[in-house]
Amino acid sequence: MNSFEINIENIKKHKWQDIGDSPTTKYYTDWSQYEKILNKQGELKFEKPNGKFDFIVGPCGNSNKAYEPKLIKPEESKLASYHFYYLNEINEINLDSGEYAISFCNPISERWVSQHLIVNIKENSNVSLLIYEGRKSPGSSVIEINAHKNSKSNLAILLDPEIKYPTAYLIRKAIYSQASMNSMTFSTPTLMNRIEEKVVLFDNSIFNHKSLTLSYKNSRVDNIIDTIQVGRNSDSDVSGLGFAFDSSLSSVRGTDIITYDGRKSRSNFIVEAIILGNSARAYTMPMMKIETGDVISATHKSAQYRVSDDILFYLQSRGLTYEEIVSLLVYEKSLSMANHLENIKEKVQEFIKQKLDRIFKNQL
Amino acid sequence: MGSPIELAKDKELKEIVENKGIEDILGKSVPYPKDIEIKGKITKDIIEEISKSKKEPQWMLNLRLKALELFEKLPMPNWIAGVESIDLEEFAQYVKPKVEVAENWDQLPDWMRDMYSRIGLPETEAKVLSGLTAVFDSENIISRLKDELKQKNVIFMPMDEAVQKYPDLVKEYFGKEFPMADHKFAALHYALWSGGAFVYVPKNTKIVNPVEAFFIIGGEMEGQFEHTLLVADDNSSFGTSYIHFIEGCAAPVLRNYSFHDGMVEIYAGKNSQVYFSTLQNWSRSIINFNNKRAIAEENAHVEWVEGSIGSKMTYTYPSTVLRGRGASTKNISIGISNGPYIKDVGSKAIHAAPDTKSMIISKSISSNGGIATYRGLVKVLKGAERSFSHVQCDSLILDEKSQAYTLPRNEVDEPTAIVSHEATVGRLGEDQLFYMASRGIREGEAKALIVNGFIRDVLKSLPLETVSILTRVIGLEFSELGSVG
Repeated sequence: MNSFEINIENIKKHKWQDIGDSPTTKYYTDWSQYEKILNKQGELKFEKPNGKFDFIVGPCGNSNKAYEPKLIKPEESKLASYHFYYLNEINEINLDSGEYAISFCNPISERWVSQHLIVNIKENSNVSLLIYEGRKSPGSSVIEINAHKNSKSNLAILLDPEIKYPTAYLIRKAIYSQASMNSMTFSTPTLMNRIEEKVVLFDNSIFNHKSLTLSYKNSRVDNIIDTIQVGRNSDSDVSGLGFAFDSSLSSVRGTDIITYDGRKSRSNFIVEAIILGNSARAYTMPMMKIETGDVISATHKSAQYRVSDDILFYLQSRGLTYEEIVSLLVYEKSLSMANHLENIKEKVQEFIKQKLDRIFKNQL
Repeated sequence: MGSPIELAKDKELKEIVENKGIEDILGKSVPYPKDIEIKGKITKDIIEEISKSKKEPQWMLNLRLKALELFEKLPMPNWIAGVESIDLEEFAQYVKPKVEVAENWDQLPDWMRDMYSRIGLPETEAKVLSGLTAVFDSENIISRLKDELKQKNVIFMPMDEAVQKYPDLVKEYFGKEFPMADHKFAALHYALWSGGAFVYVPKNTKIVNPVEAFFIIGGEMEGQFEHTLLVADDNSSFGTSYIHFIEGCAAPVLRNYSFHDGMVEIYAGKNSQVYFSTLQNWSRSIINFNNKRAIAEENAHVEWVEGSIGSKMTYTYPSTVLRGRGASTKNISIGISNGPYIKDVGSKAIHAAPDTKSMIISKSISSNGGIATYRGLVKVLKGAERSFSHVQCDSLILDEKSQAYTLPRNEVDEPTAIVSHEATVGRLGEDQLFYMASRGIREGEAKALIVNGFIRDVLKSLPLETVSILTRVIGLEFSELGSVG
């Protein structure tokens, strides 16, 4: 595994983010939170996750070792380099038709822990898949999904990390020819939660994705959803939604790219951030790079807002308090993000509901 | 069925899109006499020489030298593509053509008068303008102001002259809206600025007809760094200050490139309204870097219109800082990237006070391998309560080789603000052409109809003078006439 032999001195030479020096361009990920943790030492334990799973990956579960990452390389970013530097093993699972639940072992530590899972959805298969991660440590998790030719899949990645640590999720997907995927990523907040989602669409593939993130207290989330359409006749519907409570920051952004080879493709990209705290902040950046004029359509939208005065007035006139109105809005919008997940919809909604209950009953 | 004006515009565009192969109006550049041409590495000596030749006060020289220091320290901007090819030591930083400052068109030398006549500037001035100043290379060569404005105590003159005649007024606003440390090319501009216009609109003054500044770069390997400063003073209860400023740019076809690094600063006092239209149609030999920023005080309104048609590369992002309660801004840009050229344009609105509003509308058309980029920022600061912003970006790609990028940023630190953004990229589809062909509409006509429909709603909202010039410029672009604005 030569590619994993990464020199720490070389990693340190790289910049965290290769952005321009425009005075208005900012870092939306607070990289300093990672720097504080990366060299920290400490004990490391893994606990088995609660619940029934078909696969548990990591030291507490099944061994499904793989040797090479497929959709991510250490050299692609400083974060990826650190991920591989601290990584002990990659797990790879191949799936035929069926419904599956996979969970990572939960690391318990004060130091950086890297985890890595590759899932291959086989050709012509019909797969429903729930992937859970509930780390109690700082660190990075990479999830690679390969949806092979002519497969159909419903996928939910449900992340519930401990709020006090900085975390990074690097999610990569390849949707090969004729394959279609309905997917969702959901995450509760952490001190700094960077969720990078990158999907590549090949010929005649279909991708329908929703991403939902919560942030509260002083947490910060940077959810980046990039869709790269390199195949003809590919079709993407992608939306991201962030709720920012208290004095948290929610950034929802990404780029939809249709390359020259992606002619006759269609894309629709929507990002929304809803500000629910008086000191909360919300940033949206729905970017689009269309490299050919031969597209069916390409649209994007974004919005930042709080509960509108009209809705407030209407519901308050019917006896609801402000807190009840906010709760209604958050539950309704959050649960509807899973509507496209067909047979795993209820399970995902139940998971989201539990986390929202925790927020509304205990945390806020 | 549209109005007669709309029908006339339809007809004009149809003719425009169908026309092909007409020579450039300004043609190729020809040699002309020059009084001064300063070239080489940009040093303190060069800055002092430029300042001395303009008989500037010490504070302006100090400002230039401070800018030079910053220019040397700041890195080349790396958020945009293409500028790395610019060799800043290669071109002339200051060029004064051999011509006396004229009071009327007849006093200009024949070659220069002929150039302006071909553009139609003397005719435009006579018919619709309240005032005009024309900059050739680095210097204003003619400035005219109608009596109507003189009687209202409006100041409209070359920027260099204003530094001499109104030093205190200029010093109060110059460099205050657009900081020199903003980026390397802003610092370069302040070090080398020459030419441009200064406008001061006193309280309670309305200027009915627009004023115009027109910029020509006559030769290759030149830099033009004109500075325009527009101050609309505060208003009382008598009415609203109002001014419409038109900026036009042109260059003949050059064998090598030239570089434009101009700047516009606007200060819009309480209750004032400022309309600033740019009709940029540089030839394909110009790298165009344009820095534009406004500050809007209480209930002021600033409107930017950017018709960005020509040039090899254009980078411009007109910005408004909404500093006073109730201030508003609107930014309309129409960018055409026809051929293997780059248009990187956009807008910024910074909401820094309650009840402020911004509206940004961008329409871009890319064809023949062109790249059209919208790059924008809406920032709502904490405390800018009930602010509202909407951004609408539409791109039309006319062939499969061309590209359109939309890169918006919306940053909201105020929970009561509402910010939204919408963008679409459309194409000229074979199905559309087939549909129209089946109804007897030829490809040229069909393209004209689609382009027309695409920009029509934006044109409708613009001042009449801007529409007239803009449709002509777009027409020249599609008919491959070349470079006039």
